[in-house]
Amino acid sequence: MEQFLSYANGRYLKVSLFLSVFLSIIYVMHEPGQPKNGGTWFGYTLGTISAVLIIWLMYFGRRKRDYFSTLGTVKGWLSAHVYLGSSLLILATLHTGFQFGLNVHTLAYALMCIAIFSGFYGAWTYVYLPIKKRENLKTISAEEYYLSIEDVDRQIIKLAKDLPESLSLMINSAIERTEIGGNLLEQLSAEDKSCLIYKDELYANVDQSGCIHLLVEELSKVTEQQRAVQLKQIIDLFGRRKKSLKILRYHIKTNVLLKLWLNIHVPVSFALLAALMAHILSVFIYW
Amino acid sequence: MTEQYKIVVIGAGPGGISAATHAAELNISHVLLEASPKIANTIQKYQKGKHVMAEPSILPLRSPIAFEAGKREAILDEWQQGLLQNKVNIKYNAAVVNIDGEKGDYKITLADSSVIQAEFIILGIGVQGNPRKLGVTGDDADFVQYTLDNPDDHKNETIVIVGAGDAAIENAVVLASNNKVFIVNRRDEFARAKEGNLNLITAAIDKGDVECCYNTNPHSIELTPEQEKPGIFVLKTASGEIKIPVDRIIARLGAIPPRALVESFGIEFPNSDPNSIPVLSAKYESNVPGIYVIGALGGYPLIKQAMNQGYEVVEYILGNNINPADHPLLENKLEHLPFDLGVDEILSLMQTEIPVFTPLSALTFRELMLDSQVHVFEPNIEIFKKNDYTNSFYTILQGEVNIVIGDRVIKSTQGNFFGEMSLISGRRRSATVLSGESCIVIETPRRTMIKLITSVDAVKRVLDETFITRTIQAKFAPKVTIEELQPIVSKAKLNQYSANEVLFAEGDEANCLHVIRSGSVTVSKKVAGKDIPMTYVAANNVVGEMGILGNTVRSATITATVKTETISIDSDSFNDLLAKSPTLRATMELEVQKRHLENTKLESESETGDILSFLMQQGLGEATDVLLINEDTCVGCDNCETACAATHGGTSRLNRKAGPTFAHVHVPTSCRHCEDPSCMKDCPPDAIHRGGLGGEVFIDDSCIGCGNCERNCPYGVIQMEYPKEKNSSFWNWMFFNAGEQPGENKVKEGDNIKKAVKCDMCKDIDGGAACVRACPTGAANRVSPENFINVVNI
Ligand SMILES: Cc1cc2nc3c(=O)[nH]c(=O)nc-3n(C[C@H](O)[C@H](O)[C@H](O)COP(=O)(O)OP(=O)(O)OC[C@H]3O[C@@H](n4cnc5c(N)ncnc54)[C@H](O)[C@@H]3O)c2cc1C
Ligand code: HEM
Ligand code: HEM
Ligand code: SF4
Ligand code: SF4
Repeated sequence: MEQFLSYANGRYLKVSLFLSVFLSIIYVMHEPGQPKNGGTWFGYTLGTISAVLIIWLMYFGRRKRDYFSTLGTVKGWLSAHVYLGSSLLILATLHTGFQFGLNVHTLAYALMCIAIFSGFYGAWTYVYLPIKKRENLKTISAEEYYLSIEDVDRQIIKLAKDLPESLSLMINSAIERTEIGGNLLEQLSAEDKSCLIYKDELYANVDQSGCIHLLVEELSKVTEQQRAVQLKQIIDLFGRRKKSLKILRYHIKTNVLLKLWLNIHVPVSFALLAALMAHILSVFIYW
Repeated sequence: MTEQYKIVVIGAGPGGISAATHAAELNISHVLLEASPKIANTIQKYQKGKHVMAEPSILPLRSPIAFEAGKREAILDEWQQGLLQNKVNIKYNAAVVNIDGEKGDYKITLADSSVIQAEFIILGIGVQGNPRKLGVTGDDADFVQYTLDNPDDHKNETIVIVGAGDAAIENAVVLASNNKVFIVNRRDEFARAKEGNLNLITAAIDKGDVECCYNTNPHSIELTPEQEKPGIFVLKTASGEIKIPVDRIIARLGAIPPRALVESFGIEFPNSDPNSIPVLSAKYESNVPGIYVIGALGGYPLIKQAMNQGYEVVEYILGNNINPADHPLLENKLEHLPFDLGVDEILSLMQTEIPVFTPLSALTFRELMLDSQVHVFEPNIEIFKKNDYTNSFYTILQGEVNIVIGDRVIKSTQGNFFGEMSLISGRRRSATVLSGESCIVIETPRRTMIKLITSVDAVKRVLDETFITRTIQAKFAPKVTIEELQPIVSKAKLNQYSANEVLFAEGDEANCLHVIRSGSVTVSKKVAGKDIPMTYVAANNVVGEMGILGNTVRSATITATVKTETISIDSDSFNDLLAKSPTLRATMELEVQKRHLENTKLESESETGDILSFLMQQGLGEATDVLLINEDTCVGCDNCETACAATHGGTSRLNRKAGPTFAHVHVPTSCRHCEDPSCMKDCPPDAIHRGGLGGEVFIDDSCIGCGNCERNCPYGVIQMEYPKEKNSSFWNWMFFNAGEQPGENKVKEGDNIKKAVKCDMCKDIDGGAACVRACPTGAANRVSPENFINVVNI
């Protein structure tokens, strides 16, 4: 199955390359008799093309939600979006004639660059993270991991019922105080904030190791065969729990990464639109 | 002194109520016997407040009792009123257990052993059956019940639920939140329950919300009127008796289907198929003279039909030859025919002219014609096109049609039928059919034909034979006449395989080839001792020709993926065919070479095989078109779901996250448009159809919200949903925050019912599948099983 990057044999990559090269050649060739910037006829042309492209790039947000549209597929649009969006880096830069300063014009340009680079990052996540996600999950789905944890928990609670109270309390607290997800930063860091309570004290339980450690300690002390077997089973179960939790944390993190960048990309795009309007207005009024 | 009546109506469903009321109206001595304590048990069991539909809307109602679409409660009230006003003699709690005697003098025995005498019997007991009783002393106590109406009515009670099926589990789990609940299971596990329910109940038991008594049988119920709890439930466990003081006992032991009871009255069914219905005359009389069958039991699954029959059957008993209420409908249907005959004459003409329909009883044929269309065609009109996905069945009443297969045209004339191939295989049409001179054809929908095939053996036989002949002719010997093929056809065999059954194994001697008639198979080879599936072959294709052409042993194992039917032709017959059709060998050899090439290409990739077996395990062998998501490119944006919702009134018909995954292939919960869709089987208004070019299975507006299809779909893809509002425009939402986000429509206000919704493959949307077109990365794709290999092999 083809990717959005290789959509229609890279049709839009070719279009963008052609546009960039062709317009660069004209830029080098043309001698306007004034500084080469947005003020020349060619500057105006480049500016207009860039502005139209930006409007069209933003329109992607609409097309993506126009589910009845028969104008191409969203995949095709994304392919065009990515390549034509990148070509702005050349077209708009040529338009500026490399005249940057501390003004609204350069602000627009800077915002455009942020939009584009965040777009690069986004495209990268779209291509690589799904594969990473799948490798992490191995062959089953995240739902199945959640279910398996529930299942393990049930087994642990059942097994822990007749352990000495301090231990069974500890085990229950370890299960109850297992943290996964949390706020955005916690999701992103994938850090394990789980803890447990043992003899009324709160301990960290990163990767369930606190709990496993206490259980192993207990195991070394027991003499009764049956109790030993029971503890071993619980330890194994916590081991499985730890693995699933780790996988899920990574899964959550990747899911956040896949979405987070859009929270930069889109607001910056709107800011760019505003700055661009200011730029165009100002050049018409003051020039 | 036994009571004696002219007409005894058994079962106070809509059919029975209508019959008894008409008898009362006419002052005929009668009684209406109802097993349950209330009228219309089937309708009492609908969910509270259910909106009952009055389909088919074109059918007029003919009954002294009113019936219009409306709330369940209002309708039941109205019926109750009607019974009172007409002074209908009704007995509740009067389950009939036996019938003896003959027309004019029947003795009807009730559960309490009392006997009632009758001259005529009208049987309208429906198909729901009666709940299986606890069968222990005390089970008639009023705190013993067999249904659960509203779980919220019960708080802080001690409730024992008996049973281990889905109904028992669902009741136990909802009641557990407010009550002390026990569940009594005869065995040591919940083997009969659905996966989801199994998880629910084990969780509830582990958490202690529900207490389960395994290996336990009910023993008796003791009444304790003086005490706090009204009774004590005595249970027998493996280790002895236990006694539980209870407020309530709910027994969910399933229903006893009425067939055995009906047969015990002497009424015959045509065969053992559970869907078959008793043979009836045009006047609803069964093979036992004087016993009439109406309503759902007689094969009429809707309320209005049952009520009309109730009226008509009383008239027939009185010897009045009235036209059935559907008469005007038929009249309408047949109006445009160039015959100067009445409806009944046209119907009997049709039955004599068309041999497949001759064995049908007049009533069955009438029913068939109500569902069918009669087309009068100008010459050269396309009746259907090759590769269409329609599946109705056609018979030629007059004139001829031209069947175009490749560059050949075969004429088919009066009395013949066509279109049976797709009917049976559920696959695309294999030829184009054009109308010929003075052509009149009858088109019968698939469901009606399938019902006919299961209930009339003669029809099945004719269809099977023709199918074999035509398949052999079309596949192997298009130029050879049917007469010449006869010896080969008579030796060909029809085989049935259940899912995972092996047709033949690698290394076996090759002695026949199979044409797959319905279902599908996988081809697998042994690699390092393991069977690796290499490819999938759908209905209408040939397997096993490689071995038989080369006269060698089988080079691969063929396994049925789902219930599969094949036609097998042995080597001798095949050699005959080769001799008769000189070009056959060359074309088949070419085909074989192509397959060899494909196979060697696939042999190295064992992951492909694993994925293919995974897909088959998911039941995709019976799919015709399925949504697959490539996990290596899915970014989880859920745009596919939103697209589906936005284009289908706000409810997504696919659930991306749900469903199994293997390697990079994910099968989301979404309709697979099965070859032989289980959802269609039991839809009272026949609202589920198979569509045109895409072959989509879809539900039309006549859905009455009964939920049967939701239960019948093995893949859980049908949801019951309230209709939703239209959304405001995108720009209003975007700039003024007006209305809802695309795809998140509000539920419509007012009195609406939940109806079944499912994927319709975007049949009404330009551009096709919205989910696929909305996926930004191309992860979502719709594929038909023939192309699984390509998808899997990326
Ligand atoms: C969930 C659901 C929703 C539906 N919604 C609709 C709808 O909206 N519109 C519509 O037109 N149809 C609907 N139907 C179909 C409709 O309910 C049936 O077609 C109709 O009830 C059939 O009527 P009947 O008289 O043949 O039998 P039933 O209604 O089944 O009545 C049979 C009666 O006989 C009694 N009985 C059984 N055995 C005995 C015995 N041995 N002795 C004495 N009495 C006995 C039963 O207790 C029952 O009261 C729906 C069906 C279901 C399951
Ligand atoms: C309709 C579209 C546009 C018009 C008419 C336009 C017009 C102009 C003009 C006339 C100038 C010349 C200023 C000078 O002579 O110094 C200019 C410069 C500039 N333009 Fe545009 N422009 C357009 C679009 C854009 C876009 C899309 C961007 C980038 C986001 C952009 C960024 C700049 C910058 C950075 C300069 C240099 C400012 C400076 O000289 O300090 N312009 N533009
Ligand atoms: C100035 C340039 C750009 C603008 C104004 C812009 C604007 C937008 C907008 C409005 C969206 C819609 C987001 C949404 O509604 O969910 C979007 C999505 C996206 N853009 Fe850009 N973009 C620009 C450049 C780029 C570039 C250069 C790339 C990549 C190289 C890129 C990659 C993407 C991707 C991957 C998406 C997400 C698509 C999806 O999830 O459906 N963009 N962009
Ligand atoms: S709804 Fe279910 S049974 Fe019906 S076609 Fe779709 S998957 Fe098959
Ligand atoms: S639209 Fe495509 S990428 Fe988005 S969730 Fe659906 S399948 Fe995955």
